[in-house]
Amino acid sequence: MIWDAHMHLQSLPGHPWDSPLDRVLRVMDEAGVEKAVIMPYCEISPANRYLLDETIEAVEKSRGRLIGFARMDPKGEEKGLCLFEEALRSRAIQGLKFHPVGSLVHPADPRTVAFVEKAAEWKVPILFHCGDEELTLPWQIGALAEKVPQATIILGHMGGYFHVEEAIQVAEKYPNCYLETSATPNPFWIQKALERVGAERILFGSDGPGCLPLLEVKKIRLLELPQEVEKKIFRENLKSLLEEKKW
Amino acid sequence: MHTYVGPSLFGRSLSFKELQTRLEKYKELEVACVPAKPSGGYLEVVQKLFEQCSERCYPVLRVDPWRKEEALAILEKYSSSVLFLHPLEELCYPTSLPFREIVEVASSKGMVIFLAAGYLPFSHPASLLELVRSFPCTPFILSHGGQLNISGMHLQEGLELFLQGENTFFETSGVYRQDYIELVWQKVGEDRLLFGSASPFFCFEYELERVLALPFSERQKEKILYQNGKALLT
Repeated sequence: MIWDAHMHLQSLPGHPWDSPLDRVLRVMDEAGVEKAVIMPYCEISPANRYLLDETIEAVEKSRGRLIGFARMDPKGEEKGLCLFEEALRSRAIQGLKFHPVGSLVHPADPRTVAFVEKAAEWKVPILFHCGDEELTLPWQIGALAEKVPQATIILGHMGGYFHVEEAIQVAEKYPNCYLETSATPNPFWIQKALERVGAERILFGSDGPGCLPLLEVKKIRLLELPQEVEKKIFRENLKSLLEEKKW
Repeated sequence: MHTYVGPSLFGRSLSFKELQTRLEKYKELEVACVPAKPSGGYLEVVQKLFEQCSERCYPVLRVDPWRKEEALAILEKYSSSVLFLHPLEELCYPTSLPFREIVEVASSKGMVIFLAAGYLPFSHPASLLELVRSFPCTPFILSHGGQLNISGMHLQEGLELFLQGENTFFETSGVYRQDYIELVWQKVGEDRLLFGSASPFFCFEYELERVLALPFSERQKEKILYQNGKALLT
């Protein structure tokens, strides 16, 4: 069975990206995904905590299939931190997500660091959108990994289209960094990551439902990896990370 | 629609021998062969392309707009229905004079212009829309669905390329989000989507799966995989 480290759930009626619970579960079932990490498309702050509530509600309705990550806005500062801790106590939320294109806060900004340190205290992982845009580049996230070596940082999309080599370099340098495979389109790069970083720090993700989990699974399967390696990428690595949490 | 062959300045290339292996594996495959960017000019690689392309391989012309004399000589000497231009690799904005001059010459010959789209800052969809509008009677193929952004920031502008540019064709390689392909299909119809792999930069097998995974009928997938491209190029 497969665990997906990166999916989105948010109601956006009338918008092509509308990702309600039934759409998420449907594409999971099509791909044989047993469990998935979900997060909204927009930043959670005290001003719009409904996004957090929607995530928690979906997790509770999913009968154990969904794991919530809180996509927080670092600009929420102290109040945001309190909200994040409240979310963790709900147990529906088991990680933190940052998308600096949305929040416009640098990964190594003190406000981001405060959240990351909190996540590290709770031993929950932090997933970053890591692509080709300003504020999401691998070495920018690497600066954070250096500041908070006790945090587990996942580079989502492992560098996107053009920065995969840099993402691999960051993971080579910082042992607290993991690479997540969603949306980056060439399996060749995942093979390279395996050779240089090792199977234990690669996580399967889909960025579904917009990117199809079924297609993202095929991307890994095209590599024809040994079964034990596939098992780590598809499930065991994420499972281990989530088991570290402090409750 | 989109496979790079020949030695590449950037170190990733597909030889003709490797291409032949792929053609033997996929018996129904036909390939539009684009020269990879060489370390020098294009004259030699285009010549070699024409010598080596045989059945099921269609040579696509490629030029560097900054080497105007060579570009014009290639367009004059070699006959192909498609001219490929890569604004990033040639460091030439699509709205710049050298670029437009080449497009103008190719258009006058009735050629289809195939643009490598989404490579910032050179081929942002907004710049491409401006170029496409300037040549309304020229068919333009836009690779990667017109944009390459893994946040989805350029999806709306990418969509506008195909909505506003009725002379544009959407090539599927490397597209971010399957639902973007579905949306464009819904908005512009089934005749303007073309399968491409951009291999070896992207993976041919995976790009094929990308189209096969679309929620379309076999007939519609056949249009994307083959019929639309064939109709455009012949």
